[in-house]
Amino acid sequence: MDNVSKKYRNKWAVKSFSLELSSGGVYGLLGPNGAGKTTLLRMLVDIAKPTSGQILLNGQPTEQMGDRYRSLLGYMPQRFGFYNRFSAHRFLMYMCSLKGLSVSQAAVRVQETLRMVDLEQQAQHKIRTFSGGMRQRLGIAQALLNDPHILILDEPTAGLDPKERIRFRNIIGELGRDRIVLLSTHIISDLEFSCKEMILMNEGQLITRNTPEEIMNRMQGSVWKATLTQQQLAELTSHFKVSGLSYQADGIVARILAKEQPVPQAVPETPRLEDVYMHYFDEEATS
Amino acid sequence: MIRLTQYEFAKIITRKSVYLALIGLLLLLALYACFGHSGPLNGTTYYKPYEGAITEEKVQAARDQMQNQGYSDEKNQTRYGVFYEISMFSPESTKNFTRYDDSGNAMERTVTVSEIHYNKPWGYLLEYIDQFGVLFMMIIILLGLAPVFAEEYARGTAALLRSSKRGRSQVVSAKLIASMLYVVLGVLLFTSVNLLIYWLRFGNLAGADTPLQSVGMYFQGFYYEFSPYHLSALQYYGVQLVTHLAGSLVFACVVLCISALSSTSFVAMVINVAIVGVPYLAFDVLNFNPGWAKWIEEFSFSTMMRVTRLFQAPASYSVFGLELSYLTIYMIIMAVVTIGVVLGTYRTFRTREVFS
Repeated sequence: MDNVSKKYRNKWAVKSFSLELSSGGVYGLLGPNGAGKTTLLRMLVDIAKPTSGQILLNGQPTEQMGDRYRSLLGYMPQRFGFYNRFSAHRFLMYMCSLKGLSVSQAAVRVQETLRMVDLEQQAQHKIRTFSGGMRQRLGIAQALLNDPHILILDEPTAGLDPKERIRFRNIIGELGRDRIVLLSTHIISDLEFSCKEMILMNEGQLITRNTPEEIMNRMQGSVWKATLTQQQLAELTSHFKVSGLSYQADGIVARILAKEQPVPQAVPETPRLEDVYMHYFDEEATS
Repeated sequence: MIRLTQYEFAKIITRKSVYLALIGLLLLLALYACFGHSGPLNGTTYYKPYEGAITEEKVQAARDQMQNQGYSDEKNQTRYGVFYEISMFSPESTKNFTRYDDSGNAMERTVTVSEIHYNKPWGYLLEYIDQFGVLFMMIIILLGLAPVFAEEYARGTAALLRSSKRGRSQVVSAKLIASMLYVVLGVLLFTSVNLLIYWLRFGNLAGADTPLQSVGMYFQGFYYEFSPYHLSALQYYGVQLVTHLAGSLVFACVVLCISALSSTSFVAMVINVAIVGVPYLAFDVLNFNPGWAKWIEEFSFSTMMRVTRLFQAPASYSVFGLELSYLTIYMIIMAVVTIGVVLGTYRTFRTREVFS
């Protein structure tokens, strides 16, 4: 992505965003609501046009590549619908014909992806009978049909139960070995284990990108744990960000983000991704 | 492409509103054909003694019998129909009766009508497209095709389509072909059911080779008596069917283009109804006909779907010094509109951004 911007009416949804991605890893795109993540992904999958800048694949503008570029893509949008009168199998076969797969290829891939997302038993059921989680899994399945080189997933785990989420993470981790996977999410735990690099964005701009370990390392010495009274907590939250609270018998155990020891009883803690998120995006706590 | 078209076709015909409307309209058609008309059933025998050239003796005999006959029951109405036609098409009547075209010029008959023919079944068959065919196809097209593109945006599937390899031009082609197929099948279904109903009702389809000008519609209305086209009832039925189908396809293309521009099926439906339904309602149903709006009536989509007006009377216009018939101009305009809306549909779906 070379200096990509997108403007809707008078608002810049994405501004001067430059980023290079390479095969072999899952990239986690992290940012608060309204950060511009979905707009960025829409431009990447060629359903929204950048106001300025361009997106290149191996040096070639994707806009010029057209069908060739889209044949490499797998995309699961944040909000999408289905043809409720279709069965899961029929829907996936339809998506296969949209993705240009032959009938024989389609038959194999549909079975494989249904197995991957654990919907084999429901293959012939009408989509209108599916629960939210099943629909989400079907959405993931359609993105994988063409064995895409570039897999773009916008909030893919929303609506999945913990078991399904773990299964999904494993699938993504496996897929990420030899392709580009860009995963936008609010759920930090989705990124914790499988993510090669994290891309943090806010207000349409790139804040930072690095491995989760490196990003967490940068916060070494800035995360503290302390047991507080209600009054102390109230005082602390007006000066510092608090990334976690736990109510115990002897008081409130708080995770506090601060460059220096915030209270005498505070002890240093190993940073976690929740702390990173709070550090970069909780604007309300800073004001 | 074939598979994609099959899926797109399935998306159209599995819509509940479409098959409910189909069932309802077919039922209405059957009920109307069986109970709506008190017109003649097989009238061959009544016409038989009078068939051929109308002579003074036949005219006199017909006039005498008309004065003596009541025509309250079905049988007498049929007889009255024979006598009426003889009187109407007697050489004396056709000579004295002058009709004027839209420009006020006296119309001339180019085909002799001074012959009596039994062709009642064809009158009813031609009447169907003029009356119900246009309305039925408008309903079926609006219900089936207004959501074709709009629903993809409203349902949130547009992003899946447009980010896929064949989700731009090819999916539009598949949708267009599936829609055309749907229209063709709709026209064929309605016309074949109608054909079957009238064949059963009359017991025959007699009069297929009689001149178009002698075919009466709406019981005793000779809509084509000034038609300049030398066609038999059967030939014209074919022409009418093809023109009706072509008109329905043009309308379908317009509906699809509006659908591609709309964000919901409802919006697409409202806009399409306004474009096609309002002129149809105003001119064809309510007979609203002020002079300034004449061109809208003459060149509205429903005119082509209704067909009758295009072949009714000789009319020509001077276009850049070139004398062209109304039919020719109409067809040129419809061809240009079709090309425009099809290209517009491709362009709209290819370039329209997906926001949700």
